[in-house]
Amino acid sequence: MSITVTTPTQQKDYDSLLEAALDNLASSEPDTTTEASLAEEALRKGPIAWQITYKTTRAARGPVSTKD
Amino acid sequence: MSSPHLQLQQGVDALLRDYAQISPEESAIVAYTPDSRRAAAHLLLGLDRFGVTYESIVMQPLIDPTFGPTLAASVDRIGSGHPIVLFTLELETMSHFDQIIETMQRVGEQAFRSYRMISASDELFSLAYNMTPEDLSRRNSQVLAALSGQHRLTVTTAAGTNLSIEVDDAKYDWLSNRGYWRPGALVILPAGEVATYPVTVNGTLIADGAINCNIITRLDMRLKANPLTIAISDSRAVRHHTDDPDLQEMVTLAFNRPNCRRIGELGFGTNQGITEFISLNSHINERRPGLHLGFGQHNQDYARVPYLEELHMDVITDDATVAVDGGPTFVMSELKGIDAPHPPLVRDEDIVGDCCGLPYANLIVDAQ
Repeated sequence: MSITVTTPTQQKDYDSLLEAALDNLASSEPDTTTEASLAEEALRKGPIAWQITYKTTRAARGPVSTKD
Repeated sequence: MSSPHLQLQQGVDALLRDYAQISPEESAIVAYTPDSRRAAAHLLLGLDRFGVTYESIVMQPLIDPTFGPTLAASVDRIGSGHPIVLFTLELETMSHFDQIIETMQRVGEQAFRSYRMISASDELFSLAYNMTPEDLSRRNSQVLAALSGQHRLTVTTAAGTNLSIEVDDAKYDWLSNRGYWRPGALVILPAGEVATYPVTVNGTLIADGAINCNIITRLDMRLKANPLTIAISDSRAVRHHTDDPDLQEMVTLAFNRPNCRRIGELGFGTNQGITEFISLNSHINERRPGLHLGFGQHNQDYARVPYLEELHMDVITDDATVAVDGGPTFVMSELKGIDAPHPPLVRDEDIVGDCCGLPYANLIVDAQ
C-alpha cells in the first residue's frame, strides 16, 4: 500500500480551503439541516434511541479481536 | 507545529495514515451530522492531500430514514472495483449502526472499512490522533497484563482519590479500545482505553478531570476548578458534591435514576497524546490517562450483571496511580507499553450500537 502525503497547507491558504469546503458542504445540505433543528427534531421524534452505549447480549458484541 | 491549523492537519493525516491506512486506490465516504460539518471539512481537505476520491453525506443524528438508501447509493457510485473506507463524524451521538453494518455485509467485510468518530471537533484532530494504534495497543497490553485475572488494587490520585477495587476477568470481560480495524468491525474513535466491570469498589473518588455522559448538554464538563467528590460504598455512590452548581444538579439528577448510583464500569484512559481535558461532553476526555468510573449503564451481559440503565456517566480523574496487590504499580500518564502480544480475546470497542442521544431534559422529566 503506497501512501503519498503532500506538505501540510500553510495557514492562510488552509483558511481559504476550509472556508470553501464548509461552504460546499453547507450548500449541498437540505435547507432543514441546521445543527440545532436537526438534533432537537431527532430527539423529539422518539422513541429516542438514547444510549445503547453498551448492548447487553454477547451476540451483539461482534467477533472478538484476533489482532496480534 | 505551532499553528492550530497545522496541528489539525497533522491529526487528520495521522487518522488517514496510521488508523485508516488509506491509499489513493481506495474510495472514501464521509458521513457527518451538521454539528460536525467543520470536522468533516477538515477530513475532506485531508483526503485531498492524500489523493483519495470521496463523496460526502449529511445525516441526521439518531433518526434518519434516508441515511441507509443514501449510503447504499454512494457505495454503488464510487465503490465499483475499489475498497471503500467509511468515515462517520458526529459531535454528540453515534448513529445508524444497523444501516452501516447492512452496507458492510452487502459490500463484503474485507472491502469495507469503517471509522466511526464521536466528539468530532477541532480537538478530535488536534489531540486524539497523536498516538498510533500501535502506541495504544502496547499501553493497553501493559494494563491488561497487570490487571487480567483476579486482583485487588488500590487507585490513588494527586487530588485525593483513594479506592479499593476488586477485578476478576473470570466473571467480567475486559474490553480494549485501541483504534485497530479488523474485518467485520467498526472502529470507534477516539481510541485509547481499557475497561471492565469491577467486582467491588469502595472508597472516595475525587474526580478532577471531567465528566462524559450519554446525554446532550452544553455544560462545561471539566472538573479541575471544582472537583467532584463521590463517596462509594459497595460499588454504589452514597454521597457526592462539587462546587459547580450546574454539574452538581446534573449529577444529582443522574443519581436519582433507579440504577445510576451503581458503578457499571471501571475504565482507564491510555491515550497519552491527549494532553488536556476539553470543555465538551466528550469521549476525548475519558481516553486521557487516568481512571474513570462509569455510573449507571454497564458493559457486560445482562445475565452477568442483571440490571438495566440507559444513562451512563463517566467520572474521570486527571491521571491515576494503580497499585496491584502483590503485583506492579504503575502511573497511567507514564505508561511505556510492553511488547507482549495484545490479548486476543478482549473486546475492541465500547460502543456497539446507536449511542449517546439522551436529552438533558429527560433527566428532569424523569425526576418528576
